Amino acid sequence: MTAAEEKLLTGQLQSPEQQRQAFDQVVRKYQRVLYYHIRRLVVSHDDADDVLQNTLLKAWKNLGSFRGDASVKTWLYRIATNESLTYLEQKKRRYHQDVEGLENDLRHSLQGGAYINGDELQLKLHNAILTLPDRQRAVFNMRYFDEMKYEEIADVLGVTVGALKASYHHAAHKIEAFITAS
Amino acid sequence: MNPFEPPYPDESEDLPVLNSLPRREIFSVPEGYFDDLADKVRLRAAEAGPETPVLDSLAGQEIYQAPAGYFETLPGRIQALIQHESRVIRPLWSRMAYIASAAAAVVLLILAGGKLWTPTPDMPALAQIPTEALVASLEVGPSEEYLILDALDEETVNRLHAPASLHPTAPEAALEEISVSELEELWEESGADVPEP
Repeated sequence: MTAAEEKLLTGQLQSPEQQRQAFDQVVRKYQRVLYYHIRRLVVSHDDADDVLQNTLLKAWKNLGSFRGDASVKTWLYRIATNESLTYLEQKKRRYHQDVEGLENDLRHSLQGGAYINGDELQLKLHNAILTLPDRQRAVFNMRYFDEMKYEEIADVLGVTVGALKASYHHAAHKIEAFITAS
Repeated sequence: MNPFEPPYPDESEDLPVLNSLPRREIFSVPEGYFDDLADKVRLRAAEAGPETPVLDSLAGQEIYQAPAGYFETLPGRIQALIQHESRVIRPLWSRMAYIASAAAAVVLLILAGGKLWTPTPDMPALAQIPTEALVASLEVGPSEEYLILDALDEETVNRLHAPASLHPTAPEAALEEISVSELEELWEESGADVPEP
């Protein structure tokens, strides 16, 4: 999306007459990337659907606070990431005593879940990703799968590029070691 | 600013020999050296192999799928949700009762707060922080401390902080005592450099 298109869309999102149609356009444009971003964090389709709907509903309710300082994509990723991490945190508190419990639950969803189609190596990769802490998984996924620039991810998470590079570097090596060892 | 120019003109007068020497490069390269340098580097990189070969080979492959028609129906479902949300309007008496109880709670909080809490010089009063900044801080969930702690290996984290203040399974407890700058120092102490992938 060009800067002019982004500015136009931001204006439409602020306009009471145009915002519903503009928001529909935003949903159609970003639904897939947001879905897969969330899905990689929460793993099951049903959970991803819940979190995606919450994300878009929250975005709609907060259109008034969106000033266009960040891009629409960055803003949506920020809400989606936050919603996913909050969802995982709540799930951990509600159903599991510790991090390992949640990790096992996600691993179970990955191995026996619906709407998953990958070969042995790909499943091994996703199993390796599940060994990372949730926030580091979010960083790794945005960089590896979505091929986002560090600057973009920094905007999404509100952290420095240096911290992100260190986080990604360690995550990539940890995953590589996990796959190679198994 | 030209780095070869002395920053202070007067100092150059103290270096007569150095200043009299012609500033030219004495080193040279074999003919055509730079012509195939990029190819050589690429060849060496190919010979050494990628740092994460398995990851590189799997890049761009998605294993997750959505049910058939999911994305076609999602915008309609979101619009229905939005309409449902905007239709939920509470009756006037309910809103009046809510406003009255909220106002009473605020008055009580102000009275109690005035007696019990005074901002310290280091802590800005909440009223001084713009509402937008507060909202933004709530929107951004992950903190930098978590990212740095996640990236550090467990042994380093344990070595860097006293056992009493940090249990490996409870980094949250340690975060209450560690600032971002301290974590960055710890990161440097750990000897792990921040690479450019």
